[in-house]
Amino acid sequence: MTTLQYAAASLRHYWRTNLAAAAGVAVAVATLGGALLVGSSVRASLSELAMARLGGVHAVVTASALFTESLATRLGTASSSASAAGTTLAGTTAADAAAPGAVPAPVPVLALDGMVIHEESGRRATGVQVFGVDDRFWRLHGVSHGVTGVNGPSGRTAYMSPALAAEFGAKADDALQLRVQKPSAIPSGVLQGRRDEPGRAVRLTLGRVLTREQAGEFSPSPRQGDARTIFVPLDRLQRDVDLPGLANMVLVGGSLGADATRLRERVRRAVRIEDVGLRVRTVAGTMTAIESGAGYMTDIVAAGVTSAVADASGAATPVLTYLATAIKANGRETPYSLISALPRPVIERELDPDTRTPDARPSSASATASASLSPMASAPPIWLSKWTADDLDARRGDTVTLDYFLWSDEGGLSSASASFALAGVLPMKGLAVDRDLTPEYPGVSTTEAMSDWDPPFPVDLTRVRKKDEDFWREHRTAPKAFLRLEDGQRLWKSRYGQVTSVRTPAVDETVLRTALAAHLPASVADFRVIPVRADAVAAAAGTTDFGEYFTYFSFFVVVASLLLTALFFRLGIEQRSTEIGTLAAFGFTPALVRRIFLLEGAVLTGAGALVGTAGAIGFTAALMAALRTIWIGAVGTTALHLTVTPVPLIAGALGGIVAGLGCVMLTLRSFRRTSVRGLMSGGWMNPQVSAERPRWLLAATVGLVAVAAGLVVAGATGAVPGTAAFFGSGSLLLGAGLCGVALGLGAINRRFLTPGPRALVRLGMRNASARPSRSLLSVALIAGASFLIVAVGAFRQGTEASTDPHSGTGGYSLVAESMQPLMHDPATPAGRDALNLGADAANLDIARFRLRPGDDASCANLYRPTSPRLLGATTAFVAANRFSFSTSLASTDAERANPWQLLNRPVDDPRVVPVIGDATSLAYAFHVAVGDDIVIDGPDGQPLKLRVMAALRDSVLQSELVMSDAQFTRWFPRHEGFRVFLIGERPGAGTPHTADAIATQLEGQLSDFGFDAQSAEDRLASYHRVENTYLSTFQALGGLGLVLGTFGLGTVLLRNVLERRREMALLRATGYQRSHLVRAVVAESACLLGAGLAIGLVCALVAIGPAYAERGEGLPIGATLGLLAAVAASGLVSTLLATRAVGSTALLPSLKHE
Amino acid sequence: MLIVSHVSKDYLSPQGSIAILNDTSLAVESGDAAAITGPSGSGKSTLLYIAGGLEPPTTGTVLINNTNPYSLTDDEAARFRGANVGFVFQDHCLLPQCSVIENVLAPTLVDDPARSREYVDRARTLLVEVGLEHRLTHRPAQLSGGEKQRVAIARALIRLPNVLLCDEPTGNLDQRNADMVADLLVSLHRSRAMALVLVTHSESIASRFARRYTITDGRLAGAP
Repeated sequence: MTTLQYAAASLRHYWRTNLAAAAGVAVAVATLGGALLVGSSVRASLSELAMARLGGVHAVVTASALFTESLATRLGTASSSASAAGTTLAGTTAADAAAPGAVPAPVPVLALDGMVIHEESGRRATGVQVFGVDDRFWRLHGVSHGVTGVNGPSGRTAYMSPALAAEFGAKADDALQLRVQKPSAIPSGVLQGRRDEPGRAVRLTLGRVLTREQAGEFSPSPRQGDARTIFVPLDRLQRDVDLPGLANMVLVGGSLGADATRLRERVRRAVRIEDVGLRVRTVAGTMTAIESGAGYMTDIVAAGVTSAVADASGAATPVLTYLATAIKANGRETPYSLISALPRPVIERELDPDTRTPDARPSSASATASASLSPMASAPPIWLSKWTADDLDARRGDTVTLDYFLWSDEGGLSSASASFALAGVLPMKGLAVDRDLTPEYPGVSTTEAMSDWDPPFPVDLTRVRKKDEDFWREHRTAPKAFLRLEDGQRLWKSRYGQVTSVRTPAVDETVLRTALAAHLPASVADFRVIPVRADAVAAAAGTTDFGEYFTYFSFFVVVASLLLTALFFRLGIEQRSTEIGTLAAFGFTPALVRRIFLLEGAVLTGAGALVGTAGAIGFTAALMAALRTIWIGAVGTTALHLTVTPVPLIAGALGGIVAGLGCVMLTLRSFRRTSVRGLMSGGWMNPQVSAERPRWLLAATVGLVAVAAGLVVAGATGAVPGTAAFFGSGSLLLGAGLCGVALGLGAINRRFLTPGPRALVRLGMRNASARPSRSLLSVALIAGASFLIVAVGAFRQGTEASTDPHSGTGGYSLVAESMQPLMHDPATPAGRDALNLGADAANLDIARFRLRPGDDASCANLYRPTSPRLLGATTAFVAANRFSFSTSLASTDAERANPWQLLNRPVDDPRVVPVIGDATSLAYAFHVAVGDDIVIDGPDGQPLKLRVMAALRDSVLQSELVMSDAQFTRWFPRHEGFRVFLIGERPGAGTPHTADAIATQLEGQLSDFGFDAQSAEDRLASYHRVENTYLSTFQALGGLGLVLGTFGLGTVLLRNVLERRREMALLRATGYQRSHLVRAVVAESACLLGAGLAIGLVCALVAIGPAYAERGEGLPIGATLGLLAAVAASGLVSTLLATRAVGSTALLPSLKHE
Repeated sequence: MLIVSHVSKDYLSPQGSIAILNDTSLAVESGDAAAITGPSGSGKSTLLYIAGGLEPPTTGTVLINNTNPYSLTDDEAARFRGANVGFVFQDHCLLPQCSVIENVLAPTLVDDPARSREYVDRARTLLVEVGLEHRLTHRPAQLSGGEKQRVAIARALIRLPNVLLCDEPTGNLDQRNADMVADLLVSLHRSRAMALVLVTHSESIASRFARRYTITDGRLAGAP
């Protein structure tokens, strides 16, 4: 017989024990491999979902402002003309732009946020992605993604995603109303900007519902929730929002889209000045003007344009034109006049020679003027046109006052005045009649009469005289007064710039465009190439490594199954100790014996791993099914499915095999000190229980308790963070408890067994002490699992409505978001009037936030947020000091008192922005701590570091990062106004209303803005639901581990019973009834189970002390106790199985040692 | 007293029914002692277990103090055994997790707690009688084979049984220890009015008892 044959025979002979050991390995491998496979399946599912929703798109080209739709064409095809107008910013013609290679038809898209109303049902959906597309969109998906049979839509037809259609119950031909934000080239944050522009309503008919395969769920940014998408004809949408020929997104597929570097170069070469919002005009045949469609030119654009013009013609004249509500002098006023600020020499060149002479006023008046000039000696100069000077009867040296409006997002519209000294009068020619000094302002510059003005600020038309109308008819927007450029900029510069146009003597447009291209990189318009497909793959790696999480969640299942494996291997080897001794007696070396058993172990673990691998697939399928159903709260999508990949399975199998063989090795090692005779006689089975109390054990127990107590004190006094202190303390007590059990098992042996009511209980406990290592193992497993289950249960979040400003809702009752930014402050009467809010709104406390839309950073988003949603907090909100913080970088008393002030802390690096985020998002979505930087792409395409200054504790602000308003407007000036709101009722402001009632009222009054309010409590609860689902998952799998642990306990008991069957037979022979023996076994089980549960429970209660003190009744005590009761019940079932063995033990064979 | 009347015992095996005992009878009065010898497999241990109420006969009756233990329920039989029968086995069957005195007290743990002190005192006395007064708190693993068997004998006597049944009590012992245990049993029997039945394959041990039986092919033969 060879070693192999011997091993094979042994495997066959001891098949029952071997089967159990292999089953243990199989469970461990299934659990471990399954947990890892869940991770790869979730990643694969998310990646597939993102890919499916991207369709044929590899990259997206966007800019901070609108650009011409033709950019897409220029990116992809050659132009037939290379006219001056076709010169790109890179100084090439459009034909050049297409030169690097053929492009698979990039597609222009106008993408907007919208609200859809389904007219049949009256249902409405906010936060809908609206895509203005044409046939090219479907062709792109057709070429790269196999979408066929879809064209259009055309006319007033719209296509819809399945989820949105299902939400409405919509079908083809249903009538829809789409309300979208109307983008404007002119920022709302300047005087001329439209702030009360409601969203545009577009009436549509549903053409068809497109499936995911038909690109119906198209989304350029990954999200796992339902795709709520509507496709409308591009030209229709452009017309309805008054943006003909403009787009804000180009979708690029094929090899060009896949090569971001090449695409960036292509964009750089294809962008024209029109794409960055500039236009070139020839003015009066002698001048060329470069203007921004936004009104103001940003400083970087103005500098580039000035340099370009200087290169092209040698002379650049920056101009700033603003509207004054009145020009006043000598008790007279000229209403509503445009004022241009220019470099002084440019103005003085135009002066009427007559007005150059000083003291034009008669001498008698001159004295008066001199006297009056005295206080104005330092007043800045102003020049009036002849018409204005006549209107005001103004002479040189007169004081001229300008009244004008200013707009600030914080303060709204305000009036201001500035006084000047009249320095001269310009004749009615040249600058004084140059209507082109004023950029085109909708509502003003295109009207035939002043009475037709419709500017975004109040105009009192009764002040407009006939002579004003006559001037308007003849000269339109010609300025009536002129300031030095620096004076104008001092008064009217904004965060959007301080120049409205740059002028130069007439210059060849091609030359000018070439010069502009040389001085204006494409980045000035924030053109960005986003490799959405590559980003989606990276984002699909997820904020949450489900493989890691489920490995943690399955920890106790894995440990329990490995312990069971170890137990079965050990029992199997112990069962064969006589055989081992016999082999040794025959002359087998220990190495040979070890080899035989290792061989058997390898076969068993291999077989177990094989079965376990199949089990892992089944386990994963079950977990994925659970994630799609009962645990959907954690993932929010049903799109997750099983994806079998070899690596996790191999890792799980290897883990199980290594653990199994380790068990064999350890068990064999434990026999090394047993003599051959001892093995053969089974003498090793008689425990050498020491009655002595090991000093080290006592010292360890006392030491652990002392350190735990110290931690509790430290936590209570705040020296150590409470949760960490108490959790650490609980863990230490758990260790102390187990040491105590070890001591207790010894102590049981010192108690004298005498007849009495508790004699059988004590006998059972004595039995538990007979195999202290086994008993301790069982107790440790149960205590550890109980500890974690109870402690984890305490982290379940309950949500209650709270007006406490330091609660998770900040004391607000609603969280709202508008599709269209609100420019007016509802906290002011004027703002409420402008927004048409009722008087009740005065009782509301509304905090406003600017919004840069981006990836949801909350736990509800499984994808990694690469471009997070950003909020800008007003100074009023910062001062209000709402919410509470878990940690912060506060170093001063003021910062500690109000950590929001950290948003305003100066930072040396100009590209570092202080932000505050929710602790959960920081930890699990961004994987950063307070003090760390989150790097995002800045609006200029360069990295921007968001430095985390503080972490909010359990707040409704989990989806975003918050920065100061000043930082927000500095970095994201194009994201105007306020779109996110926290709303509560002012204390004592009349009868309180429910959150629903307030939401309904505000949504009705602000429906034009697409205002959507949600209960803050519900929002917080939705976050809690995700976290609680994770905890449920952990508890469920931990509970499964605990059940396996109790099964292990049952196995230990059964083994103990079987090993003691002769003792039991003897006791029965000497008068013990079966019930006596059963009671002893139950006592033994209860001793171990009770000790485990008690230690775990007590230590967990210490660990959750702070949580209990904070939330008290909010803790899920009932559910946790129920779970522990279930554990106790399963332990008792295991015990009963063991006691059945007592009953079935044959008396005579046992006594005869057969 | 112990009366075994016309007892037969058959076991079922794959090859059919095997008769271990065949119409065997035995009567031992209180104060009497009997030794039964026979080759391995002759049925002597089976006879002892049937006599002690541990294994029901196929046919025949057993009376211990005029009570047939097989007419009792399991629990009644257990209580009856505890009160009337003491056992000593070839393998001492000591509880390894219990001390010497606790092993002696083991059968009393399910008895009236009020008698606890009485039992403890008796256990100490018995251990003095068996020469182990200096080993009260020792564990079985710390004892020699002969000492373990003496503990087993003390344990068998702790409840003052009417019948003491010993199954090869010296089978695992060397000659010196075997003699010591045999002498002890004879000595203890003399001082107590109980019936003693001892099964052994050792003629020298059996020769110490007045009544000796031999069992062959399931039938008992020898002095009545």
